[in-house]
Amino acid sequence: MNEGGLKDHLANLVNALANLSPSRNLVSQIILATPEEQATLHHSFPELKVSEFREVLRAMGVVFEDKVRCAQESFAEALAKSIHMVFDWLDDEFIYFDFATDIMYKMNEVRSSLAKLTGSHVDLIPNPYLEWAKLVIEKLSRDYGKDKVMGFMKSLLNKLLRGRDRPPSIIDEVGAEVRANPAELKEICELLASSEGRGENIYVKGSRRHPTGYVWLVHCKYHLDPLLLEEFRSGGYHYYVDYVYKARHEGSLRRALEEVM
Amino acid sequence: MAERLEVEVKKQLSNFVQALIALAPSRNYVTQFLYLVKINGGIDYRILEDAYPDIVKGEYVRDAFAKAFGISFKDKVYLESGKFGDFLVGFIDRVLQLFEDPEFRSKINSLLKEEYPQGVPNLAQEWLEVRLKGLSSEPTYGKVAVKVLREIVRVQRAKTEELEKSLGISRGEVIEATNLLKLYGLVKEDPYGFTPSESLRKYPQVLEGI
Repeated sequence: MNEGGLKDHLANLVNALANLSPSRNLVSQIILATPEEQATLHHSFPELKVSEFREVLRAMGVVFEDKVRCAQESFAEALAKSIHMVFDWLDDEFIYFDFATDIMYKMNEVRSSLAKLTGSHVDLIPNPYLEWAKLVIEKLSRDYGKDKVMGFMKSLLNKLLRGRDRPPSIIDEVGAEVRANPAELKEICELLASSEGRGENIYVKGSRRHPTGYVWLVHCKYHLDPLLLEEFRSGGYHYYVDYVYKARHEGSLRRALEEVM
Repeated sequence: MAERLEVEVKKQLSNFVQALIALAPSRNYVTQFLYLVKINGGIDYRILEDAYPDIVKGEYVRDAFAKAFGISFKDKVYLESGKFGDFLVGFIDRVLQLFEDPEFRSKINSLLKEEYPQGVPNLAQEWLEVRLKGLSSEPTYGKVAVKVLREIVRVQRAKTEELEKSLGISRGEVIEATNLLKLYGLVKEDPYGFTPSESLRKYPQVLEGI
C-alpha cells in the first residue's frame, strides 16, 4: 500500500469514529440520553415514533420500558462507552495508568500524531468532544441563560476544588459565583458537572486489599464529564482522606465557551 | 409528518451503519493491523515489517502510530494495555458481532433496502474472507497453509505429526503453515492440537470458495 493509501485509511477511521459521536448522529444521541423516562425521550426525539427505528434500537440492546435503558453487555452499552473513549482520544485526554508506579497519564499527543500521519493541520482533525460541548453549552444557555451556564462552567474550570474527609460540594464552591436560584444551580450542576455522587471508579491506587487512594470519573447528564475526583489516603495515627477534583478537557471547554459566546 | 420522520430516520441510520462498516478490519488497513496484533497477543517485528511495511518500516510513521494508538514497537509489536488501540479492537469486535446478528440484520435491512439492496454486509464473514484471501496469496507458504487449513477443518482437530502424515508434507512446512494460520487467527492451538477458529466453524463455506 502506498503512503496515500495509509493516509486515506487513517482519515476514514478517524472520520468513522467521529461520525458515531452524538454531535453527528441521532442514534448515538438517543443511546447517550438513556436511562430516561420513555415519555421524555419520545418528546425529545420524535423520530422514535417510527416503529422500525425502535426495532433497530431494540436489536442493539435498547430496552423500552417505562424507563428506556441500555441492556447490560449490549451493543448499545458498548457504543456509549466507545463514544466516551473517542471523546477523550480525539481531545488528547485519554487516561491510562502505569500500574507499576500508580501514576495516571494521558495520551496527549494523539491529535498531533494523527495530523502528522494524515498530513493535515491539527485543527482539521475532528474533535467530537469540542463539537458536543458547543452544542450542549448552546442548548443550556438557551434554557437557563448564558450568564448562568457560562458562569458556572468558567468557575468550575478556574477553581481548584479540595476537601478533607469528604469530597467538596461543587454547588457550594462554584455556585456562589453564579447568580442562579438553588434549584436551577442544582440542575445546571447535574447537567454539566456531576449527576450522581462520585461517579465511576476507574482506578484503585495501591492494592484492592490495601488501597492508598481511588480515582473516579465524574459523570454528568450531558456526558461532558469535566471532572475527575482523586482520593488520597494518609495512613498512621492521624488518618485522614483528601479529595481533589481535577478538570478534564479544559482547553476544549474554554474554547467552546468562547465560541458560543 | 410521519413520512418526513421516516426519511430523517433512514438518513441517520444510513450514516450510522456506514460509520460502523468503515471500522471493520476487512475494510480498513489500520484496524486490520491493530486487530491482527491484538488477536495474536503481539507479533514479531520482522513479520510485520513484511506484512505492513507502510506502518512499521519508517521511524516517523511508526512513532506517530505508537503515540496515537498506544502501540509498543520492539522485537515484538503489541498493543499497550489500557490505551486506545487496545480499547478500539474490543469495540470493533462488538461491531462484528452486531453485523452477524440475524435480528439486527433483518431489522436494519428492512429500513435500508435502497442503500443495501443485497442487505448490510456480514462483517464477521467478510473479515474471514479477507483473511483467507490474504493467506492464499502469501508468496511462500500460502498454498500449503490453505491445504493444512482444509485438513484441520475436515478433521476438526489435528496435531502436527498427524498433518504431516495425512498431507504428506514435511514437518517444517506444517510448522510454517500453522504459524501463518495462527497469525491470521484461523486456527487455535492447545496441547491436543490445532482446531478451526470460531469464525471458520460458523462460516465453513467461505473456505470452499478459496
